[in-house]
Amino acid sequence: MSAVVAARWSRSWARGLRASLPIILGYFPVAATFGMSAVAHGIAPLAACAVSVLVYAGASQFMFVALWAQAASPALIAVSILVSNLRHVAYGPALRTRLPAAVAQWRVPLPVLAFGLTDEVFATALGGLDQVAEAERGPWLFGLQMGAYGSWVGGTVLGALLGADLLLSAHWVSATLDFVLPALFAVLLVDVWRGSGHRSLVFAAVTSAFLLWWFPAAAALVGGMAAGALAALLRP
Amino acid sequence: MMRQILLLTLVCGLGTYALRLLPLWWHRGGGEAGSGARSARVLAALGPAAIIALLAVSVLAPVFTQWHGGDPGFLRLLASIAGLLAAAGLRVARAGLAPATLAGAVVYGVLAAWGGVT
Repeated sequence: MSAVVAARWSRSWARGLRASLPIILGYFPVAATFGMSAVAHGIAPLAACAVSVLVYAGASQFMFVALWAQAASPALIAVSILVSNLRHVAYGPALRTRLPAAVAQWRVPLPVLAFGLTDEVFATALGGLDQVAEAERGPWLFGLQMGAYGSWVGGTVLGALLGADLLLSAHWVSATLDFVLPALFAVLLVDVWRGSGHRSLVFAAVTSAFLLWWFPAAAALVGGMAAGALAALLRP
Repeated sequence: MMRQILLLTLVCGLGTYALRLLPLWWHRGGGEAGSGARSARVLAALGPAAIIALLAVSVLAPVFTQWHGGDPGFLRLLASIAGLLAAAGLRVARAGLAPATLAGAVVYGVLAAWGGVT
């Protein structure tokens, strides 16, 4: 990699890292709560950190702790985690259309980019990638993912070792941090609103809200996404 | 026990990673080749649908939980609406991603603390 290309790579990576700031703020307290909760349920701090390092999927990690605390079988825990993360299969193909076709241009291997495809990274990348030059999208996405991953792992370490109570002592601070991710999704929705079919968005919102009343959040998410995507096939 | 939980973590981690990698790998030729107009429309709609589904679930899940517990959760809902309007309004007014997000979260946080939302 020449010096010019390396400098461009670093600049794009840093821009991606800056774009991850809202995710960093949203992830850190949730991850700290996860670390504290895992230790409180009898999981060793090192094991709690390993879950965040290796699984890296927020809601399903809390499910992991809850099932482990109830002495569920390892097979049941593994199947539950994978079913709750099934929605992630949709993220790669949806993002792929925004990434350049030639893998060599990305400068970041595909398996590396796949690891960090969480809900929030996907949602942020969806709008953000369009504002980045094609050849720079790989390092930008990598920077975005590293900020999010660092925050998740760092928050877990802090929660597991020190306890999240220190972080969340003031009510308005904990309430603010609780709402960072919904606020981020609202901002991202503004970004995609103009270029999207509104019928598809309405179908997705109504379906996920309806399903959420009866089913767990993971099922409501999958149902909402499927309804929104299929609504795009209806004739106007 | 430590060995068992680490092994289980590894299995869950590899499985989750496979769910993220394999579809991305499968489509590595790009969305344009061999995908057809219908699947292209579905893929284009999938991302925005995911964002609005994530928004609906993240806002409504705590409200519904509270509702199922016997409290309608109106204060939480009002604080959420105010926070969302602040975030979206600032973004429409061309504020950056981080400032708009933070402003929305602070509006919610202050109202929730003031209203005693737990």
